[in-house]
Amino acid sequence: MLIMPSLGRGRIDRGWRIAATGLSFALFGLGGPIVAALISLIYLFYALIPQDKHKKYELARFILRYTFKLYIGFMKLVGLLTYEIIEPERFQTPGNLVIANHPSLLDVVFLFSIIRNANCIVKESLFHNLFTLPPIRAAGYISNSDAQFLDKSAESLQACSSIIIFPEGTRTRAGEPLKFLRGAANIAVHAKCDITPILIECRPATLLKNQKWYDIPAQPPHFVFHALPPISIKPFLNDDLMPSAQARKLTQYLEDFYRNLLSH
Amino acid sequence: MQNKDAIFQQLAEILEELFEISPEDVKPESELYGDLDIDSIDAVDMIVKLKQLTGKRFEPSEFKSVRTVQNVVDVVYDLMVSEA
Repeated sequence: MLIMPSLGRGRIDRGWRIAATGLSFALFGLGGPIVAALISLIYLFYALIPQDKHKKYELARFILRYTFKLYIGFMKLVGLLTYEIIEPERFQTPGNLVIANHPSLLDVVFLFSIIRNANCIVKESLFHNLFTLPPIRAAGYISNSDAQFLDKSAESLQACSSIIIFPEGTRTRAGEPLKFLRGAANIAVHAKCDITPILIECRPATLLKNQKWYDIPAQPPHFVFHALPPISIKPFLNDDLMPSAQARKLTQYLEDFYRNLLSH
Repeated sequence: MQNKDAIFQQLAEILEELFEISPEDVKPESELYGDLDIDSIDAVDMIVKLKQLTGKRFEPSEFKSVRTVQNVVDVVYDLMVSEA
């Protein structure tokens, strides 16, 4: 009998959080298009102002960043999650190539709310979608099928944008061996830039691949975003090897690096 | 590099040298992307190597519809024959 009250509270709390989760998804669905429309309008005005394109991207990214900050703030306020950021200054190095593991659906929102002037590589299909094209163009995101994607990425880093990449290419599949795609390493080799690895932890796990949105954990998840010391590109640059071969070696290193981190 | 067998051997050597792909895994029907994990960036380097070895000029666009190892061999062979 003594356990009953807390059990009851737990249920109410969980019921509330399921409702709040639904509300959060609804907000994302409704607020997303509004912010996208706003950025699209700005994008139309861009055509009229003669200004450096990278400066223009910064405005769109600023709006996106604060939208995501607001969204995360809302979810924290209603008790859906807690989070902490370790070594916050490492996230803000200008012209940073940032990679991270990808345990949860919210990782993207979090990283784009944290990192200033963030660029990313997006699926080609989003360039053919009437709703996603204008904001993507306004923010200067790069298509993964662009033949110039390596040059554009290097140029973006040169212009002090940070590029965020999840080398797994999709959310982590629990229980499956870690497998990295080579895009991030190819950019690092091409641009000769260091890599800032981020370790994301989310306990208990939530919003996993193949998980229903209302299937929420008993406790609100706690997210940790830990920026680790940069990985120098120097040891991986080798003129005797083709760039693709250098990128393969670097990818192997990064994969082992994360496998080691995640096994603890 | 007069015949397709020789081109195939050369290609297998390139794949081993560049991407550490074991020659036993390289079969004519092997798909570059699916079976051998060769992406578009790798393909560019592979074509550069093929150019060096054959002394022929290839345009990456000529490899656009290539899917399998045999396709690569055929394209290289056709280019060499047509230029001979």
